[in-house]
Amino acid sequence: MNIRCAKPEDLMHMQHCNLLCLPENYQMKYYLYHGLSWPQLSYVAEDDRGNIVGFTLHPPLSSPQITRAKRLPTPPLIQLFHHRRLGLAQKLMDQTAKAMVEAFNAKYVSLHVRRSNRAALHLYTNTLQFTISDIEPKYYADGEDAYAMKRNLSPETLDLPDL
Amino acid sequence: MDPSNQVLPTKENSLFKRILKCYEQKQYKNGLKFAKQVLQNYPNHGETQAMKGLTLNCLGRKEEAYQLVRQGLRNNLKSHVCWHVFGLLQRSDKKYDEAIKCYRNALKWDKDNLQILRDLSLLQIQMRDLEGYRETRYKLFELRPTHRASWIGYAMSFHLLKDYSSALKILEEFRKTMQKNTYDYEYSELLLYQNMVMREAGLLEEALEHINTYKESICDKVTSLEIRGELLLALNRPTEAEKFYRVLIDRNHENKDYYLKLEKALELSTVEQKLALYKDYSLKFPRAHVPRRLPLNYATGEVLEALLEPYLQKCLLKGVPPLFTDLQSLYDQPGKAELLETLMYRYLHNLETCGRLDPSDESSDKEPACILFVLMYLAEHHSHLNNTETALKLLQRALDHTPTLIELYIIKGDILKRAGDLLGAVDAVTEAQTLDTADRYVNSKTASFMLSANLIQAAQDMCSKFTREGVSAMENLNEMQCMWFQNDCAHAYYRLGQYGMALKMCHQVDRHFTEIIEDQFDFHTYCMRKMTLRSYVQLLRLEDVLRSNEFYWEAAILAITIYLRLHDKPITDVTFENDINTVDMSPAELKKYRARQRKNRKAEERKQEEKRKEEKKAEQKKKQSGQDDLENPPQEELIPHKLERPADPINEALNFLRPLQALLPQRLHTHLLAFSIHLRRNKPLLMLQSLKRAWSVDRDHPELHTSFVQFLKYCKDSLPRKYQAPVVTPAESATPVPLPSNEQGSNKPNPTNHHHPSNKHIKNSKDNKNNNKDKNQRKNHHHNHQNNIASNNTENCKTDTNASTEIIAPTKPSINLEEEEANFDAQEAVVVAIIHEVMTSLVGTVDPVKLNEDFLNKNNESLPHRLQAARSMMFLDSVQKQRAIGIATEIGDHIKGRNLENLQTVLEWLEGLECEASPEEILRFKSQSQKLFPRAQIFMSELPQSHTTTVTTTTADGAAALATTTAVSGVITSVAPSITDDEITANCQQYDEVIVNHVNHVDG
Amino acid sequence: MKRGRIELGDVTPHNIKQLKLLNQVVFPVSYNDKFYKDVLEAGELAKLAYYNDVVVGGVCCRIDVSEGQRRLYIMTLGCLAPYRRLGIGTLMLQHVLNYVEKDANIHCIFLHVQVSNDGALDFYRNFGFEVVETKEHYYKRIEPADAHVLQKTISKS
Repeated sequence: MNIRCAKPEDLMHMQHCNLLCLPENYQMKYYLYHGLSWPQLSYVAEDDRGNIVGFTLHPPLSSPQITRAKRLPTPPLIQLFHHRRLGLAQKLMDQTAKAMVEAFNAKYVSLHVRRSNRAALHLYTNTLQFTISDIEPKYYADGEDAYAMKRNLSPETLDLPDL
Repeated sequence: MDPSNQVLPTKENSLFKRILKCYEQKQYKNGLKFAKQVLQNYPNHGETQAMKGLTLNCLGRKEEAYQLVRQGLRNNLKSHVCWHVFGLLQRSDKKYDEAIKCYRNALKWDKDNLQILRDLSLLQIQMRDLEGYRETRYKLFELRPTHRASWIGYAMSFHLLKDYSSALKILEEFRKTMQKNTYDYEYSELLLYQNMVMREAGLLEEALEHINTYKESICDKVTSLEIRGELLLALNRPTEAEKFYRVLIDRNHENKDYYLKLEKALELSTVEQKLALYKDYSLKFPRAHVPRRLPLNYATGEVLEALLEPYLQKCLLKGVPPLFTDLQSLYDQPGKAELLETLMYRYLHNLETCGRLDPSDESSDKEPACILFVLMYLAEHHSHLNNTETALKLLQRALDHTPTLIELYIIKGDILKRAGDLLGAVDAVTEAQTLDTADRYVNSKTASFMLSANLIQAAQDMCSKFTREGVSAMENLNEMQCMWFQNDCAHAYYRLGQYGMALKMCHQVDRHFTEIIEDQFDFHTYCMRKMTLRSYVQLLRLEDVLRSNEFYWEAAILAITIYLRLHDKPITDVTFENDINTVDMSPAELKKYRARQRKNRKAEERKQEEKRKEEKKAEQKKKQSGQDDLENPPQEELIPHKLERPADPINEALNFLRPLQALLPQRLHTHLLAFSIHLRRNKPLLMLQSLKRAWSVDRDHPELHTSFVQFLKYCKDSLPRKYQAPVVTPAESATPVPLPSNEQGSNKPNPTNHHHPSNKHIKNSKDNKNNNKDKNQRKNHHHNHQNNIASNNTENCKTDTNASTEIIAPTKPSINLEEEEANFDAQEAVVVAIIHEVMTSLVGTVDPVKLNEDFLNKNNESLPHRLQAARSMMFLDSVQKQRAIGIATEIGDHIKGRNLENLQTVLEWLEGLECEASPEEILRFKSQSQKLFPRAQIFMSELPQSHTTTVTTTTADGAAALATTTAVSGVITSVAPSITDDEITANCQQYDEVIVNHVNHVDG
Repeated sequence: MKRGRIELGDVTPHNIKQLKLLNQVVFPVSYNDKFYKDVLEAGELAKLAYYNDVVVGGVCCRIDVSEGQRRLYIMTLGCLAPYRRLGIGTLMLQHVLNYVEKDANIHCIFLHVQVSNDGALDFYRNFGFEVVETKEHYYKRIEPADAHVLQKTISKS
């Protein structure tokens, strides 16, 4: 396992993983847009062989700087590919959250989850301390409802000493 | 053109201005209205016509658009507006070179036009015309010095040209204007960019000072720390670097790189020191994975065992499915695989006997799922070591334990696939897929396995469960740039001999790359605005090497292979006749028959064409009603029927090859395929160049040997007299004899430049972007050699050509020796001598038969080598076919390298065009191979007729379920016990409860 | 040492095959397609039990309207052999009991248990179930063919 900040070279692999494992997909341009707008906020998790097995890709919606991003569809915060039980989700979330606060003064993170996605719901509510803020009917392309989830970010998540 | 009627009176002028505004605001219909008004009175007003054309283009009426714009331009050649518009039009069709020309023309008439300059700069950076880009950015800088983007763009143009000092000067000046004391993301990014330029300039001390000075303003703390750590290491100040990496590790316990850098900072050299470091961190961060995993790479023997035990036990108790994947890299290190096996079997035994991993540990509760993960690990372990049956037995035990664990089915599929049982693998993953139809990963795996078993339609149907409704799966997957599917699909079509479809997929993959390179266009302005300059530069660099991506490699290799085959054996429509027995027809009947076939085919084609046109129209309608999609002009359609009858397959192959040569020269097959292509083009020097490059990558690769043999044979056959002449020193060479034309078969029209190859070569090597070390080597070798020859041959050469004195400047950089091949007459003697010298230095001989025999003798126990020797034998003399087949198909126990892949390759060769072995010989080989790989379908003499992927569930009557699988896929020794009531009860005797209920809806 | 996480989840068309597989492994009788079709409509009356995100158990009930009463009938309640004695059965049965508590119109819960199945009989007795009847030749294909009817009356205030 290896968790690090994403580089432009990773974007194509992220797209590949997303296509392999999730029903919501995006063209490469979308990944470029994210990776080039908020480079600090994309983290990837690699397995021992260097394959990408999880990543975050999320605009800092709550940042005072972000306006246009609100119009875009937001991908799930964390995307994990059959590498369960390693705590990857939490670790990715931690790093991304810290970056969000540090680089963008973000106050909270928000995202959507399919109503039927038991595992994801559990992950976000129990492990990652999100709360359900709303239910949005027919949010997804296939008509499924979504839970809108939110987690507040406190500056205490930062712990870098003054170096 | 009357200059007077190009100037509009006030009323029309204001209308014209409104046209411009409408265009900007995308109010195209209004724009057309105003244009109509102007043109009523001034029908030849060039600029209005141009604008109208531009507007029409946005509405998708491209042909009219071009017509009008051209007209407008003709009416007013001196109008920068017209030229600008024409440029925009070209740009929308991605004709960037043309667009640049138009912009330049526009600038002639209005040299300070900001808009045109900006558009030009975008095109220049897109096309990587870095010098032009800098020029333009300078102009912009001059014109708008207060504009932020002017400064950044100008600085960046120097940076990209590696003129670091200029770039830094500008950046520093600019930085001063941006300095703020509050949180500012953009200022932070600027600082980081500035620092990046410093580091690339090698100014490490300055960079360190810079970042220390401004660290407060940098928001991205992590990057700031990383940079400082790296700089200190690079400046040889490791002790200072230490604290940075420690802080970084505190922040992110799971970043491998931080630990490795910390090792450097602490200057750890021995294994003990490193292990101590990780021990510290494991204690400090007990939940962190990396500090416990990394030491496993370093430790050995008992130390390793002491570290492995807690690691394994923790994972097994927790239940971590990817444990094997996590440890797989250890298998490359000696002794570790054995240790892991020992430990795992020990755990298995303990769990079976006392239910715990560690029998002495009485305190903890038993973990019921533990044995499951031990079994799972061992199954994967044995599969990795190619012990298929053992792996399957263990896996079945795991399935019996917890049949609802979906990962198990995927592992089963993997095991079967490795053993060559492709259909069985499909069954296994299909079962997984039915258990959780919401999991796309499983779905993708299933589709992928189906494709390897050539079940293309099934794979598409499987994928369609997740693709958009209303469009075919293939179309949606193409839209979403799903390259794994397209590559796998292409390979499946290839195996089925459907070359057209396979090529279609390869081209689609290629187009994705083109698209992604296109995508960067918008980011040239965007990133300047957002100030994320580091990422932007990284993006530019990424796009430069985009086709070095694995997906492109696979698609290109396949495409080249297919085109070569189509060149060797083109698809003629005569092949249709194979379906019907035409032997008994009289010539008249045959003629009639063929005519009828042709007519039917044409009718069919017309129908297809109609259908395609309809579909296209529907698409267009959809698109037009949607947006003004300037971004994607309709591309030429990929029609399989046409693709597999290419007019110039070699040229198509070259198109795929070029990026590989530029970006993946370190891969052997780049050069082997290049060789194959040049062989068919009769270009001996290019062949030689490819061989030399291949040799420098991997001189011992068996396939390279065959290429050498082919080359030497070619030389023997095609350069007869010269080649067979005794090799003389250059001084003795006689006057050159006119050569038989070797332009036959060469597809490229030969340029008529006559020039001395060596001089051209030298000049080229400077200009040619595709320069690589090997070429230089060759050039030097060439050069020295040539000089020797030249000095002695000048007399001879002079009379024939003016070669030695006339040097034609290269126009466009291209494949180096292209033009060299043009005129062979006088140079052939020289060429032959070169070939002789190079080949002797590489392989020691120019006699292909001797080369092959030596090769065979040297490597007669290695299957891949024997195969290549056999192939070479066939190339040299097809009379030797029997001997060749005998050599390739010998797979007794003394032969090494008898893995599934190699055996498959031999079989493909036997069945392919090169060998065309008899059915008996093929059958014989198959049955021999089957003894080694009993599960592999490819070696079975009879494949199951129609394979239905039946879901085999583990029912109470286990045996029955497995029997179904056996009937379909051939040889499977069913080993699973059936689960009976007694067993449930027996298992439960350890546990006090059996919760079994019965119900009213009992079947029958 | 921490034991694995146990929780209940819904039965959906996506995962219904897992329930089917589970039942096939755990029970010596098989259920037809209609059974599973009904399960999908059963809402809270059908649940899967997860152990560390893997399905290991399941419960299927239905409302039985007969003998002038509205009763809850437990059709299947079972768990894979290695995962018994971990409280999964209890969790599932408790879920059923909670459901019945909330529904004012259900007066009792009942189920059939093969007469030889002492473990099950003990389990249900612990929760207050009693044998109220024994049906001979209840099962067609397994031995013993007789089944006890266990019942628990729910008192409503």
